[in-house]
Amino acid sequence: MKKNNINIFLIILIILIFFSFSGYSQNTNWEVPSDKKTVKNSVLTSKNVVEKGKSLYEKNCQSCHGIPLKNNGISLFPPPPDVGSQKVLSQSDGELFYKISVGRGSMPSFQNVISDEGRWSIIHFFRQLSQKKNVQKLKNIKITYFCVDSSQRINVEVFGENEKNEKLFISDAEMDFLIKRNFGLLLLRSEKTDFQGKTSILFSQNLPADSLGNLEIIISLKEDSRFDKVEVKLTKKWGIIPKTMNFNEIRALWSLRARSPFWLIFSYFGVVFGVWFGIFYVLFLLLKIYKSGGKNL
Amino acid sequence: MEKENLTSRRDFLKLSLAATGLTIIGGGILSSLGCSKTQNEISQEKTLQENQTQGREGIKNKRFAMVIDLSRCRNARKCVAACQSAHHLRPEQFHINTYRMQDAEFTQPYFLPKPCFHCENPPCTKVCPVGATFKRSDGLVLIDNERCIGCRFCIAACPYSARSFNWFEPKDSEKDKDKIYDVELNVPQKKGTITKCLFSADRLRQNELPYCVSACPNGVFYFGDLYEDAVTNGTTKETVSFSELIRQNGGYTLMEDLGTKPSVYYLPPKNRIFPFIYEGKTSLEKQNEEED
Repeated sequence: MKKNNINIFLIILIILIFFSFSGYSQNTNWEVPSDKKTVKNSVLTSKNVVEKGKSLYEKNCQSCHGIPLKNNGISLFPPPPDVGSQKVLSQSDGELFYKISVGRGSMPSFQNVISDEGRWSIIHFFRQLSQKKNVQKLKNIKITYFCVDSSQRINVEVFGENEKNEKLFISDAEMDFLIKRNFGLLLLRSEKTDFQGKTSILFSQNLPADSLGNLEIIISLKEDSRFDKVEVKLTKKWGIIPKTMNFNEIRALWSLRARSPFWLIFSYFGVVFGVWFGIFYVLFLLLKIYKSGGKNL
Repeated sequence: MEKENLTSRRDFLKLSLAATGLTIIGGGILSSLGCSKTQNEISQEKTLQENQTQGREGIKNKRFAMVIDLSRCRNARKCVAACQSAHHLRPEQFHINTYRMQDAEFTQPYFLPKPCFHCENPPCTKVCPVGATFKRSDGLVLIDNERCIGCRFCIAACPYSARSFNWFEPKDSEKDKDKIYDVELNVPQKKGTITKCLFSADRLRQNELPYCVSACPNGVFYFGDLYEDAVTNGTTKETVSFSELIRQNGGYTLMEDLGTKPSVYYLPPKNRIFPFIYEGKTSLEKQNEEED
């Protein structure tokens, strides 16, 4: 009996080890055909290409893999790796290109979604992540803004301090202009600061706002290797008040009795009472004939 | 004989007097108990009434809409599971369901999640003889099960088959016995009444996305307010312009020729990132196989 128990225990243990191992192998080994491994990146790197790769990454990949170098991908099995990690960057361009194109399990295939050029730009974006790792970050980042109500423009200036407490204008920083919506923040536009740390945005005249015409605007400095994320909130009466429609106030077949017009109620009850009056009048006459008992006939 | 008769009459009178007294006292006690019960019921009814009034009033200055991106659905059915657990539905009852679609012989199949379309011009509410189902100011079409008489006219009227009937005891009927009915959640479900998709009206009141939308792992659902012209993806939480999304992807509604004006929009299954994989078989396929 005891021996039996030990046997069962051993079998379970073997099965468990087998499963964990198979899971492990699935987790780590994603075999790429050797002819695909050596494929060279057909797109030459440039600032524009890296930018394009970054925006494609943010649109298609970031929701699972997270912000690069932050290790904040969502929990899936196998976990989506951080694209700035060694696990990703140690692979050849060909391997990465193959994996992005073909996909596996919960990693979708992007062959039909992103062009070849786009997928190569994403790989360029991954490559330059490794160069950015060890830079001292600026502190006391400040965003100052000036609003021009007549043209609905916001001028923004960004500056920070280095270790020596010198004031520096932050150039080439990405700023998001967002507006608050019911379930999230709507990105209006991304702008880059110029060499003086300045940028500006012109707001469209016909942005739908809340019932008072207020727009809650969020100016967000996107995190970079040089600085952390900074946000500023402001409210402006720049939007248009949307024309609302109360479904219960319009007249429809399904609307309430209280919404029916007077002429309809009048004619309906007029017809109903008229018919009933006719019937009762006939009955009354018949009764009269019956009561007279033929005396007058 | 006479004496005996007399005593018995006297006894009878005594007994009947005592019985009357007892009945009066007992009745008094019972009625007072009854009174306290009705008071309890009144307090409960008030909250139920509050629920009902709140349920009929829409959220102010909102008009909700959903966008479903068919190119991303891979039949994970997480939306279905989240919905069924939130609304205490039996496994055969669906407020939202994903269907396997193929439009013609040579077209590619795809998965289609289908909730209630919360039509701007809903045929279901017109046929209700008791005013149990109604349209709110924010565009939602809900049902009040306290009023529903179970005639199922609305099931017949809905061209999208969005409604289902509680034919049997609902799933958690024992557990939900003491709960006060919430019109915006449709819990507790009631046997012999209609149940339908509510766009998670209870969550919308708390400014949160519906159950199905936030449960989707593949970013299929967008949900938002049309007055703001913005919809938010339940998976990525990315907010985009509704009109831009529809314009760029060729969004459409189902059976628009009926004049129902649905609040649920579809994006065509184009540039799909997941291949169509379906291992099971539909009932129609099985039937065809059996016939062969």
